[in-house]
Amino acid sequence: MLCDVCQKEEATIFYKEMVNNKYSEMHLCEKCAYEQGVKKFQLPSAITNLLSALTELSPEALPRQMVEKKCPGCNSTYSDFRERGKLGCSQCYQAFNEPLADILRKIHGNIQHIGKSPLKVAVTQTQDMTKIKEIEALRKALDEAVKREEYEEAANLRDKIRDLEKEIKAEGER
Amino acid sequence: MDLKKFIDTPAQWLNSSGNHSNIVISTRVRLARNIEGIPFAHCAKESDLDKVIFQIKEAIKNNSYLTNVTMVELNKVNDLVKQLLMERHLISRELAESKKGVVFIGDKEIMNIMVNEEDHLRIQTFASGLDSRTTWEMINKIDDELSKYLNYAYSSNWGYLTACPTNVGTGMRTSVMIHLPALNITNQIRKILHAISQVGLAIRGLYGEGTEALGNFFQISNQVTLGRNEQEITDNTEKITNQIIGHEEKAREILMKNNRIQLEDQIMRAYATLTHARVIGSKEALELLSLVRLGVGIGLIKDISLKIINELLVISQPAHVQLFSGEILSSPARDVKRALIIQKNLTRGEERNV
Repeated sequence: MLCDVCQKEEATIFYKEMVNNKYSEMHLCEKCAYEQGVKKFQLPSAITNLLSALTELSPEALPRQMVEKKCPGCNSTYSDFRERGKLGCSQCYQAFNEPLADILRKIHGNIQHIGKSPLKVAVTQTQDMTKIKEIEALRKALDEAVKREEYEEAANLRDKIRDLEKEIKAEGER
Repeated sequence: MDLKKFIDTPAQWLNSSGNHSNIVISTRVRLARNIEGIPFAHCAKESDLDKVIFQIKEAIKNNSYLTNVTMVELNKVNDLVKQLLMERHLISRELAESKKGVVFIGDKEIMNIMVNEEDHLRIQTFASGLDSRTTWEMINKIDDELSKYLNYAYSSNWGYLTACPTNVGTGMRTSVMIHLPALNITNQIRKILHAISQVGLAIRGLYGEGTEALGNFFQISNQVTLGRNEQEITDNTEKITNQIIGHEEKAREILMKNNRIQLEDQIMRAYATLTHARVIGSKEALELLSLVRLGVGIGLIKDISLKIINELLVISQPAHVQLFSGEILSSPARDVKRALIIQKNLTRGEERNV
């Protein structure tokens, strides 16, 4: 189908408009659509997704106590976030958990992280490096064991590393 | 910072040694990280930002991958140097304007860490051509090592916590800097750009968000950072980029088949202007360099390397031109100096002389 305006380019935008209760439909190529001011189809970016997610969640849609709720970490309110598009500190994620989950789902289509985690996810305030150093040493030993083809030893080392990692993670979640 | 030595040595990722270098200039990966217990940069007190800098400095000292980094405190350098760092993609405008912005620059500019930008850390690695694997492996090691000494803000549900929810999760953005002149000449670029946006990738101009795609240079990058792991993100970006490369190659073939003389004429005119003009503006330079780059890519121009052209894309920018001259120049004076720099680089082959 050719563009309704220029009749040259292929129409890739189907644009419906309602004026005085009457639908009009246009088929436009991207260039003409842009010139006609059909801004809606402009390249979606994370920012525009974020903005639309924020405006959809208007203050009325949220319970009053959420709008006024303050983050204990930085004293930012949820309306501060709506204005700036940025959170104040990492604790805001906890404080505004529920509306944020909706926003994250809108932006990313998902709300569960499945990527890497920091090596020290766990050892939060204590700065305790001993376990991490231990894991490092075990990993080196594991590499060497594999090189020497001593698989039984390698398996033992691997289990030890797993146990230590579990301990670290458990400490972190406490 | 030894400025002279720095601008005389172009970034390694411009050297066109990577995959698909005739179309892809570079691949960059960045990770956004924050330190637990300190408010995000825009909300933090200056003393907090100093704490961030101190902790990162210490972490870098202990990082075996970062033994040779240069630290630049942005409130201690002038505007020209800030602009130079922006032209080299080492800092963002936001960092240049930050009260306590610092950048750590790795050897040959293959990595850098911006401190106190939107997030406390923005770690980046660069590689020539299409190479998400090298950039990812490098940044992953740097990040693991840093995470032993820095207490990253992280939640098991939402991953790395960032100032803007658009980066939460992996905090990762893979960007490919790509040159698509034939798709533009054959009027297919809009279709391609539209298609890219449909598959969760974003496309921007040469200098990132909100910049123009001068000379048909674009940056393609992932949008989604949560719910996919790092491997999936890099694989997806690479897969889509490969498809775009395929389209660009095809467009080049079609042009060579159907409009060879016209294409060659345009390219050779651009070449002639770059090698003989006395006054060249920065926008014009980018557009002409784009055509000459296409000429090298299709084998029409043989005595210039892609490396020289890639480097010229950077060193023909305003701050570079002025720092080469050693003085602040008015815009018309810059255009004269720029013409000279381009001419010398294009007519002396591999040897750099500015």
